[in-house]
Amino acid sequence: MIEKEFEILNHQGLHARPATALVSLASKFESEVFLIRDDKKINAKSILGVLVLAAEHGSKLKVQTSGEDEEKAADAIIELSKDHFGMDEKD
Amino acid sequence: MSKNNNNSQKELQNKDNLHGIAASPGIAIGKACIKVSKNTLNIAKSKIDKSQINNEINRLKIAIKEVTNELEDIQQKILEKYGKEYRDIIDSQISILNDSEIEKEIFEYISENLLNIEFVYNFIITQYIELLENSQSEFFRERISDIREVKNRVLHKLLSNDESISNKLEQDEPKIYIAKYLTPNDIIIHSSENIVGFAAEEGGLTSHVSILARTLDIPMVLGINRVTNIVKQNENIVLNANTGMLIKNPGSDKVKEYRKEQKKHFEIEKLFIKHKNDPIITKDGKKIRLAANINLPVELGMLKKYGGDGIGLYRTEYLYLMKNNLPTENELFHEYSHIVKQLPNKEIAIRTIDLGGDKMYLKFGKELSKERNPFMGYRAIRICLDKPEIFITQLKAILRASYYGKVKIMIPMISTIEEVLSAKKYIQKAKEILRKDKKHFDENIKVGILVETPSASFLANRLAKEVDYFSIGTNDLTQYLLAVDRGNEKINELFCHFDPVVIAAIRWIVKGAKTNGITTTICGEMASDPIATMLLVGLGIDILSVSPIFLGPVRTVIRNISYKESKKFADKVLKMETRQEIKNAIKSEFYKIFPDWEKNYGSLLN
Repeated sequence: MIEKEFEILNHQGLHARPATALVSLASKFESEVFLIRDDKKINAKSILGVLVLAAEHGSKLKVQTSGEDEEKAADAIIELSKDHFGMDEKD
Repeated sequence: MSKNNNNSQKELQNKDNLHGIAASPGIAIGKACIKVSKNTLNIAKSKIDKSQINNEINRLKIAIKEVTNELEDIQQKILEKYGKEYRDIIDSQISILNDSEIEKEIFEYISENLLNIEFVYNFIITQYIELLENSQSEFFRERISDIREVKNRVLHKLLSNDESISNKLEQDEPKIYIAKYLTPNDIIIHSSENIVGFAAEEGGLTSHVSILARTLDIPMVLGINRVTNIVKQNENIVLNANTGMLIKNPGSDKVKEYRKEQKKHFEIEKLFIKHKNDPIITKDGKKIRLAANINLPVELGMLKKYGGDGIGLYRTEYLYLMKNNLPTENELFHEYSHIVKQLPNKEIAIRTIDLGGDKMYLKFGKELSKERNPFMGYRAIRICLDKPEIFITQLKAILRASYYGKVKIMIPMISTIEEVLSAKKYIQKAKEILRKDKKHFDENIKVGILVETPSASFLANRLAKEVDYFSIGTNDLTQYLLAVDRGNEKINELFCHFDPVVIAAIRWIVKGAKTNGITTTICGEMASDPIATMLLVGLGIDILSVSPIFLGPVRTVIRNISYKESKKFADKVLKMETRQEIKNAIKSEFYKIFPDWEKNYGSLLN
């Protein structure tokens, strides 16, 4: 099992579109992928789960993966978060 | 309120009649469709046999498929009606609906507990809603309404699939949508279904949902106390949005009467359409420009239908409010140029974003904390000057659109000279960037300001030296001058654009403009009020910019008044001391010229 921390850089938080990008990436991996924020832990392959995290700009999340490709999965999600979840944003 | 109207007299006395504010005129007849805003659906819990698990899961899958089709249908209608910028509204609902992980969770739960699918689905989704309800973030809490909407649609399907045909028929019947509080998305989504009217408990005349309803020509009544408790689901009702009334148990005779009134409404509309090309000129030959206020590209249809001279106020908040992300320069450019290309020879005043105040959804960078005094807080130009990247993005889009027609920039909420100077600096900067990128735009684009704060009014003579035109936003101007919150139902009575101070301010602003050789537009609620037209013309307003559905009525007034008489009348009103005196004078002058206004042209909004 791997656990890594990342920060939400998107101005408007982990919103419908970035959340969808996250879910479709997480779903590509065999491993279980969870996101943890404070006392909430949700399945990162579920859009509903990601939305209820209500992760706004600047919030710190943990990604927790376990399975064959856990390393790859965790890294990919960290990368995606750095890329503002593929959203076209300028700082 | 309408005066010479039989229905409205009777309406006042009956307990089945619920009073509210007429927010968008018209009459709607249909069944009540009440927005479920709490987890109030009563779902029975029953044990199932192991052998039924697959069957139950299958039922859910079918329901989800059906709701998906329904939503895609709505999405298609939204696309046709409003354009592709608004189709995102449904996207998040569709992906919530088709969440395969949730399906797995439901499967596990049902296998373990052997309960009926309605109960399990409701139970699981409600858990997620509750998680979100506990969230501190206002913005994310809005997603609750998305999830709830999806959940209710699915449950409705699950519960009704046994009842088959009779239910299907019912779905095509016209319905009146009733909620505690309406959002712009509610209006867009449901007006693409079989909803013919809207009613809500909250919201005043100038809230943006009423602007949207008028835009789309859908009757709306707001501020009806406890309406979601009093009216029953599926009950037959009439919504008389000409008088601001919801009628329960109307009975067949009354329904007939209202159908007659509906028909009359339709005939009046035809009359206005017939005269859409009549020149907008007073009896004694003074030309007045009559333009439209618009929010969405779809309204161009209304503008063409009723005939107007360009757009006096293009409100640009909707792209920001309806999307989850900030729109990009290209998205904005596409939207603006789409409008400009359709009216290449007409002036179009594009207002830069007026977010904040009552329209505060969007979070720029971080969530905005609740303000104690949002109307005096972080809004409009104040946000733009604080977040220049957002401002410049919009300015570049407006400038690029200006290449295709006669675009003017309008800056809202100006209260100091410094703000005007800074805004102009950013416009110069946006131009420089575009020049460097070899993008075309109108080098001589006009820049104006909305005069809507007391300080800008006082400064009119000075501000007029810095800009190319003024536009008076009477809603905010009235609110700030009188210190009356226009959204507060308890003090609705105190909000009045016929107050002597408002009229004196308009005169002062016009004088400042004329002294410096610039024009004045008026674009608030007051401009759309036919009763106020004579006074505004008399005060020296050059352009009246009105909601598209008022183009007909205001044109009719202008063509029947004399400019000379209007000026005299305005001078007389300027000497009056109380708003009652002014209201009386305005009404009596109006009915002197139009004794049968209601009979010929329908009821007035105020």
